[in-house]
Amino acid sequence: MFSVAAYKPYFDVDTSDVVERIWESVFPFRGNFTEKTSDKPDLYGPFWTCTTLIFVAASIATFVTYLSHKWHKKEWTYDINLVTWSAGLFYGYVTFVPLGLYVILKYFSAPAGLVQLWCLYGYSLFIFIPASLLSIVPIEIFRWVIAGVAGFMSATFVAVNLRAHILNSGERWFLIVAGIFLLQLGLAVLLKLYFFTITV
Amino acid sequence: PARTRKSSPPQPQLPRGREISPAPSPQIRLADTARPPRRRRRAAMSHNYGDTIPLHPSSAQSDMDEIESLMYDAPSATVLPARPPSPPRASIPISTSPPPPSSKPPLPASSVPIFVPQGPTPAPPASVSVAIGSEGFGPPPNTLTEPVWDTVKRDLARIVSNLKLVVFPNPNREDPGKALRDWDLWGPFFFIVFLGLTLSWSASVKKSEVFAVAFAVLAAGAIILTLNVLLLGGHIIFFQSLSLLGYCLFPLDVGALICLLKDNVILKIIVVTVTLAWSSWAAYPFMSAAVNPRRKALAIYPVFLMYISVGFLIIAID
Repeated sequence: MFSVAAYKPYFDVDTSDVVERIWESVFPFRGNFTEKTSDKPDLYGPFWTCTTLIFVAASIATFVTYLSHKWHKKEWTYDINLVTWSAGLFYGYVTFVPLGLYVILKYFSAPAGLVQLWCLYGYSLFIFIPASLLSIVPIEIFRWVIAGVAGFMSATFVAVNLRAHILNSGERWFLIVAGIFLLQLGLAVLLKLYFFTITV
Repeated sequence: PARTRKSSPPQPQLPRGREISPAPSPQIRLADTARPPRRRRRAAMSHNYGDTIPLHPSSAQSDMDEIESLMYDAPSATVLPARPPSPPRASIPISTSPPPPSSKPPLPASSVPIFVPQGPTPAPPASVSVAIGSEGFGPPPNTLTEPVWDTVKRDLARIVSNLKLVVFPNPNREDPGKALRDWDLWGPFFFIVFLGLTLSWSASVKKSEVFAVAFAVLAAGAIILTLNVLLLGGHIIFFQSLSLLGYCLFPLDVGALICLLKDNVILKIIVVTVTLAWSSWAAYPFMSAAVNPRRKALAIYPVFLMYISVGFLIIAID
């Protein structure tokens, strides 16, 4: 369990594989992500997408706060908590939500592989990176629109892929998928509120 | 830093440059076969049993034994450190058996061997110029009784030579195998702590949190980057990679120091960009050579990410 070799199969991807999977995650309505990754789900993409998102969100938020303080001629100090909270939020989300989903799906007898769920959730966070970059624009309505669109795309991506998987397991699938969708939307809203809502 | 074997983290009994493996190394076995004469003498000395239990499982003999052998062994015994410029990290300097012939790594050009090869050991590579140190042809050095300043000086010399190999342009850069044969962890430790301290001094609020985050990001980052390469199927040695990533922080240290002294945003951005590019350039050959070419970008990207995030931290701290 604690040797490197035990986890090597989950990192058996080339650069082209990772780039292709990231590209796939941007199109929410295709629904074939799980099939494409079912034979070689990887943990490289989720981990580094998450880490990149943490860094991008924290740094863009810092930059945006700095700019707005300078425009309003106020004192600004660097808030290191942005980095720590960002890390906690995203790592926690990508680790524990798929874990919970795995347990729930097992309970409803539509088991999905845990690594596949981690893979799905990790890549679904990719869309928030360009969304964070676009949130530099200081117009509040624009930021909400961006957050909404990104959240919708990400949530739809996860929901459609999950629906394809658990459609046959009975009438509860709609509840699960809807719950997943709302949770991801909630993450997007939280991202917007914590990082990109500046009160000076 | 005192060179007591007992206080160092447990390290395998292998000369530098080898893969770390849990199996007992030939060096231990050879040392073991050399032990019976000493055991008999030890019994004759009628020491208590407690004196002769090695404190550290990786040492082939106990402290009492080592000191004893220093006092009673002939000075001209064939005592050969596995790594010439300094006593070997992972094995006892006092050994009546010659080290295995393959354990001799090539000497860094700037180092000074202090011993005289005896017995069936191979000569140093002809391409390296061998200069005789001021110790001359006397008894071989042992780290237990030498002055502390000698130990510190030797470690500092190693740090400087490693720095020159890794961070500055030199003809050996393209061969990662030669890049850091004599790796150590003092240099990286010093650079990480220095960077954390500099950032902490620069910060006007939450100084201790800034240090904690910087130190954690750098230390955990180095470990995660190394694991990343290993998981992608690359071939590196764990501690050698940690050492290299630590040494590549040197340009960022310089940049952070400049940013501490001059608090102008434009200057900071320029300085950090330059030092960031320098750090990445230093780390690139090693990391890219370690993995399959189809996965090169997967191994390099996280290195850039870590250095960019540290660079951003340097710019943002005011």
